[in-house]
Amino acid sequence: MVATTAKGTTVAATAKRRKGLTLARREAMWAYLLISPWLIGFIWLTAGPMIASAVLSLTEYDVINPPRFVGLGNWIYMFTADPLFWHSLRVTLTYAVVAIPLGLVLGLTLALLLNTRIPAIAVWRTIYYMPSVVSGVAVAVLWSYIFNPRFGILNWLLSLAGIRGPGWLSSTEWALPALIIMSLWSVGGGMIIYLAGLQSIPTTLYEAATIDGAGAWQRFWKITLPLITPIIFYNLVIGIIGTFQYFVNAYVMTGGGPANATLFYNLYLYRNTFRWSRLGFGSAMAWFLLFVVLVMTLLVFKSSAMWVYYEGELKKE
Amino acid sequence: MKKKYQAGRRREATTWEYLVLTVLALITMLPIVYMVSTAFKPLEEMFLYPPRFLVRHPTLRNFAELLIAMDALSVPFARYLFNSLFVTVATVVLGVILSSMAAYPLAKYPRMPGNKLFFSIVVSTLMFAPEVTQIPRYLIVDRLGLIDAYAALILPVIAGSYGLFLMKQFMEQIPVELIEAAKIDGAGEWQVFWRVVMPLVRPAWITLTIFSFIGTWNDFFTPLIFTRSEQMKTLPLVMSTIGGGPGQVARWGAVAAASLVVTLPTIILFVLLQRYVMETMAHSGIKA
Repeated sequence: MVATTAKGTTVAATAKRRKGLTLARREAMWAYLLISPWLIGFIWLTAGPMIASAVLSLTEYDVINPPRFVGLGNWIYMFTADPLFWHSLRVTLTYAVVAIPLGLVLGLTLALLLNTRIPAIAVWRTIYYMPSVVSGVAVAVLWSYIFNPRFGILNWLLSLAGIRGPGWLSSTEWALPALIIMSLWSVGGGMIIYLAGLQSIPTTLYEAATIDGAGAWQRFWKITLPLITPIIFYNLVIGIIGTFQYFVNAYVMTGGGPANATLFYNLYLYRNTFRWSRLGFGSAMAWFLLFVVLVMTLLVFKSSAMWVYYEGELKKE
Repeated sequence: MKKKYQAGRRREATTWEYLVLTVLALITMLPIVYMVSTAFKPLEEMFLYPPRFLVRHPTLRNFAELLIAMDALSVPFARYLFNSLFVTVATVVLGVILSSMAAYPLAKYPRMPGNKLFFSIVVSTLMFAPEVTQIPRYLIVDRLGLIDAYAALILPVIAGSYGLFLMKQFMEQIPVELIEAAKIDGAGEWQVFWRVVMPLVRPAWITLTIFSFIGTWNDFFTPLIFTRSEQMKTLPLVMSTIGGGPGQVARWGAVAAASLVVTLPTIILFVLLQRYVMETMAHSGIKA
């Protein structure tokens, strides 16, 4: 309705001479109409807040009193004086450096094993993917029970092998490794994507290689791996971004402890903002987080030219 | 190169590979089986040592405790269940419709002024950590007096970039001729969208529905910062408090029962609809 009246008043005069324009305008009108509900939400609750938080990071703000401009004060304090800022960054990076590569290797291994003529593939796939579906607080609670040093099943299983299990979540050395072990439980999410990629590799390539005398090991290194590097790359970027958003498990299972051993960056950010009402400082931390994620993603992107293979390249050679 | 299934010519798995796959599948299933069986365990089996995976004398006592008593919490469990369901369904429905509506012009109206710019903004926000928007979002919701309202749990999450991106990728594959043909037959833009475009991208919005459902249903952070009173909390938030917080094992029976209630809907939804997800994965061009 809006479209017709608008068209009627503004474009009617030129309509006969320039039909194309009328159509284009009509289309544009519909386009904006369809986009607008999403766009309003997006500007209001995503784009706007992003700019606002950049401004907030230059202030001191506790919700009750009006914001006070402090320039780069938050940033300087963060880098030089804050007692736990670097520590929380170190915890997060340690987790990333260990958990991401382990997850990549395990996910890919699973996908390779499933990429065979195996009966009931859907069942296998569903089983391995299941942990990614049930993620969240329920899983965090479940695993904190599994890790329980006294009646948890993990230490009991270890005791069967004659190993005295550590205190896991209550031990400063073992809390972070426990969370890494737990993360491996949900490698199925990455596995699904690897599997989709593996299944799009034409089997003729392998047949040709076999005829040329390539063994299984060679076929993997020379065909499979190069062809799925874009997917490894994709999972790597997703993994990095995910690690910097790590929150629920640390909040529910350890609360950042013991002795801040699992104080992830995002958890510390939450504490500053919502528990201690340091909204300006929290905004600065959030922007630094965004910056780190962008830099790491860019680094992965840049380096990708060296090791990522895209299908089109074959023709250029 | 897409969807070359060729299962017939794939090599056979060796016995060793079967063995590895089976062991890993068992390890993967173990925690879930453990959770299910624990939900039905009577108190005396709960803290046995050595622990037992399977329940010997199953009971529904844990569920009863969850539904009625939950002594410390004055709100009945059914209220949390309702909150979770209502917020999730509203978020999924609104989110899928809004994303699809916005994706259609981006994919099929290339002449729209600002089309390219708009899409590049969407893609760049895909990479941005949500932490950055959190604080101002909280302030906006707070100023509007929406803290503790359902709207606070629904509105901030529906206009996301991921859904728009996914829907656009799929809509691009629809031939323009199809849309033109419908218009020649007298269909208006609105009709084209609902009757032609949406049915064609069904696997995409089913996938988006599943991911959005799982994401919202399990969302812990949004209710954590946007709710204050007990009766507005959702299941994930309540789950973290029933057990008494980190390092505690209070009311483990009720916790186990609650875990089962929380995870069951996502598992059922996924098992029922997983074939659409796989189809979408194969088509969405993730590989390039």
